[in-house]
Amino acid sequence: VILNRKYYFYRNFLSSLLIVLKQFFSLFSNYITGNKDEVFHHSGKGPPLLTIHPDQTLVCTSCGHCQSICPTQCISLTTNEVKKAPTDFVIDMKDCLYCGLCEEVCPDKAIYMAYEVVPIVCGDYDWKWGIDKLAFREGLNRGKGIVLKDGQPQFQNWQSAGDPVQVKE
Amino acid sequence: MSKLLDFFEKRDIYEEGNRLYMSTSLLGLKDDIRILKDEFKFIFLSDIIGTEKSGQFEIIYHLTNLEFRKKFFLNLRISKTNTLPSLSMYWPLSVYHEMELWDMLGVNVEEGLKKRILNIPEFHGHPLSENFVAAGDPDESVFCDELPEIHQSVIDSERREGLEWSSHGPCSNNIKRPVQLQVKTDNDIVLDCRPKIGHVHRGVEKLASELDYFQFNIHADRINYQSCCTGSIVWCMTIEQLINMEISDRSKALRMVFLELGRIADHFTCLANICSKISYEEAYWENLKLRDEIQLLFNLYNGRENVSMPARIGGMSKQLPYGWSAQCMETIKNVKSKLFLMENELLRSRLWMDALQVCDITSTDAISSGVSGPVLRACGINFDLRKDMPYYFYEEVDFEIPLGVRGDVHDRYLVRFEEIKQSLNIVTQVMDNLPISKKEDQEYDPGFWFSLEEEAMDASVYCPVESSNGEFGFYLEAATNKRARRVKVRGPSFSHVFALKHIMYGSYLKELPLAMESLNIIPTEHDR
Repeated sequence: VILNRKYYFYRNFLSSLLIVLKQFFSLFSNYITGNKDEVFHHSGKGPPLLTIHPDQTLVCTSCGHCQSICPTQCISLTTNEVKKAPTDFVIDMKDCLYCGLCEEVCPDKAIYMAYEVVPIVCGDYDWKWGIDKLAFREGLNRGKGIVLKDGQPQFQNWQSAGDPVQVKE
Repeated sequence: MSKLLDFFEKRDIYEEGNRLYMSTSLLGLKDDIRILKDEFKFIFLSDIIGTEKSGQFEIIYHLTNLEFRKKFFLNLRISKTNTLPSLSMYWPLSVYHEMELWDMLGVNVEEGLKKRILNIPEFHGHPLSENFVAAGDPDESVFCDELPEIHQSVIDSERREGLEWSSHGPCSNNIKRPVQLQVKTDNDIVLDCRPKIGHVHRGVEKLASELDYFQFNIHADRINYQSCCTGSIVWCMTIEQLINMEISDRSKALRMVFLELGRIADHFTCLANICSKISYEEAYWENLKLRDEIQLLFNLYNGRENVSMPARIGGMSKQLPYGWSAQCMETIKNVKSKLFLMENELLRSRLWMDALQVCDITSTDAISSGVSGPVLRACGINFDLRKDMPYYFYEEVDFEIPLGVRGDVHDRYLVRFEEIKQSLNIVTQVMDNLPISKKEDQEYDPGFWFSLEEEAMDASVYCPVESSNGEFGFYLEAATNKRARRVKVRGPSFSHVFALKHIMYGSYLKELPLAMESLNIIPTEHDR
């Protein structure tokens, strides 16, 4: 279909005047009612977190699925084969794409993507997050960690894991 | 088309759907191309693909017939010492594809074309060839000691004659893309424009041959960051065609919905940028707000906006969340009412039309430079992969393709504006007739990929879709059923950048940023 022919001709004088008047009065009406158009929302997925049992041990059994699926290979995992638990779990946050494949692939629901906002700091910031930061950082239930109960992580809200971190300099 | 089959009867030509495959020799290449172009009207060069196979190079010329809706793949095998003849007498912009062949693969092209296009000029070696060894950190082994050679002898000689060459970008306030443009002007009228790309080259094609198909999904999505999800869906489509996998009707329909929503988001960004370039600030913010409303739907589905990645190999990442379809319908209603306002108040204004009726391109120039998508349709050429080579349920959906007349910025704006309306129609039609799924909790099985056994495979597949900017697809040659040997991205922006030469010819220098924004060039697509 060829586009409508009227688009290629100028508008006439009267209709232009009407539009200008309408715009002029909309300024007043916006001022009285207040501008309600603006929509603010932030992107949902934050950095990954590790869930814990009530006795403060990690749920992770170090099966290595997340390590093998990660698109940028930013997860490094060392295992203790006797206890079937990770001795060290490090994520290089400067490589992480926040894609969430590790969350989907995990059979034990041990890793989740958080919804908190984490400030990005330059300089001598430690990009490699160990277990202390992944499971017990400030944003997750005020440092107590997210407990896995009956196969469901106990988030405070249905959408947000933990409160947003206060940025301090 | 039966004529064509009769003509090449003795050669091993075979047909598969709307695609034709044939191989040729080095001596007969130019004759074959001439016959195909002049007699059988394969006038559109989509891409030139190069691979390396057992010590030989395999060059694939990918041609399109716009009238009969056919694609032609012409294979050519040459050894490493032979020179590849240039096709610049048939398609002037094919030289950039040939420069890329030398840059990335080391194919022995003609002497003047051995220039770096994606990598930096100091780089040693050809990254996609088989015996290339990456040197880790950039040190002496990668970079040579000498100072970089400046390829500006032509520019210098013309400067002495009195013509002005000026350089714009890559870090410019006007052109917000990492592209360097060298522009020849005479009293502010542009005579020539030479883009220099490669500033955000990330080696995506190399990465694709190292990762497996499941992992590359997010990287495929990041190639086109503006249209939210297109890359991921195309990648999954390609892999499913490769390993002959059937997906459910519901996930096909959902993918159509997300493709159209991504198209709308991309078009709104483009319209907003055009408005900002002629300082219509209010229209700029209105368009961005509408874009945000569309992106909220992606956020509610998957938690991400720009690089959403809703598709997985074998289906969609998850079921529609509760209340999503109601939110979708409400958004469509909002967007439609805003579009009605914009149509009444913005279009047909005198200032608006005078500012936008510049930078036109003729249809012959557009075809010879390989431009596709809304830019091609604005010249009046009816070619849309959704109608001509339909995938998923596009045959069963009612929609129309808008065509422009003159091919200037105003026409590109109108075509994009009309396409948004048509896409909204498609979304409502699909959401009304969404098939019911049989699996209750999840759309695909994540354990499937781990249980699949790796076995050797020798096949190639190319599966294009109509993205918001034009024909977008992955050419893939499989090594096994989990890993690829070579992946080539066909992004529309690669042709659009070099078509700037035709678009800018004869118009003022101040219109350069407007022309850039109306083409909607995405730097990660042409640099890869």
